Amino acid sequence: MKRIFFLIPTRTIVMVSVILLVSGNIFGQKVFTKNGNISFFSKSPLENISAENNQVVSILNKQTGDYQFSVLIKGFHFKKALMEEHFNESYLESDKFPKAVFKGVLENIAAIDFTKDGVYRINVTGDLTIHGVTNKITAPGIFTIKAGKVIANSLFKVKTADYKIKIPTLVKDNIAEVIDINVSCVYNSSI
Amino acid sequence: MKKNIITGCCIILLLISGFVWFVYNKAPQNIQEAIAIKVNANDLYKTFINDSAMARSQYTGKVLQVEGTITDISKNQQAQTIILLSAGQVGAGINCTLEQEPSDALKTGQVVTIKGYCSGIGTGDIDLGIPGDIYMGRCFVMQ
Repeated sequence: MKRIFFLIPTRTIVMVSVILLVSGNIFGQKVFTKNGNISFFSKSPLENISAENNQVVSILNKQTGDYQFSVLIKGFHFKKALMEEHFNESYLESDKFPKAVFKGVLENIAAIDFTKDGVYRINVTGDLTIHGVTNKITAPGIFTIKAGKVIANSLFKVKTADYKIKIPTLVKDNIAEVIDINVSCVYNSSI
Repeated sequence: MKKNIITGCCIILLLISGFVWFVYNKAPQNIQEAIAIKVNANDLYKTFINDSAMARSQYTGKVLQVEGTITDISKNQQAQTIILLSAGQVGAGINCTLEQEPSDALKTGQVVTIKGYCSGIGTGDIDLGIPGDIYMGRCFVMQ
């Protein structure tokens, strides 16, 4: 056994060790979920409107801080059928623009220690595409590390006019000009 | 005569208001009672991959009744049960969020029929090797 070990050149042993160390860092550096949650809330004098979507695909690269989420517009469910119909057909035009996508980066990923439990408040900056319109946004994020699992929460506001979402004059008082968006993802898979 | 016209107008107004109120407050579609398109999980996934335009017009935004094998059972953040049906593609499946808990206990490997509203195919990441799931919401496991 000792003889076999001496037959392997030192350079090879060093290279294999480096590869093993690097691959250890790379493997599992990206965490993702296919069932994250996004909800939105519109508060107006006439009525409050909310909708939920539990079909959010989100990926976080723990090393680079790259962060993205994508959601199917038809996956938003309302309490009233007519609201869901108008949301899909008139406002978000979900047949034409089936997804809303965010692609960005955590401003200071190095601040997060993924090896121990903790709560980190970190801004996320990137491009948010809704209704075929892309805008740069910065949203406050709360990243919680609990028992090795990453949990992300973010609450931010979106102006309907910024995404060319036209609200008819007749229902203008029923829908807020600024909508609260709440993203909540538990990353239970890694690659 | 004038009194009759006023009474008639009031009744018509009441009927219109009642109709508007009914339409405005109508609850979402009852999935359990809706007429569904019957499809096999593998065929559904194949259609979305091979002919996305046809899949969108045929399945997206429709109530489907999908038969497939359970590969995973989990809970989402709202404590709803998520059932993943095999779609013949590694890492992807038919991702079904149940509206109510099934009466019988389910297990992986079991063949089931699930009825729900199809939202379409989710985003995957080719670079990361994550294929997109097909999403169904407001689902019920058929008995």
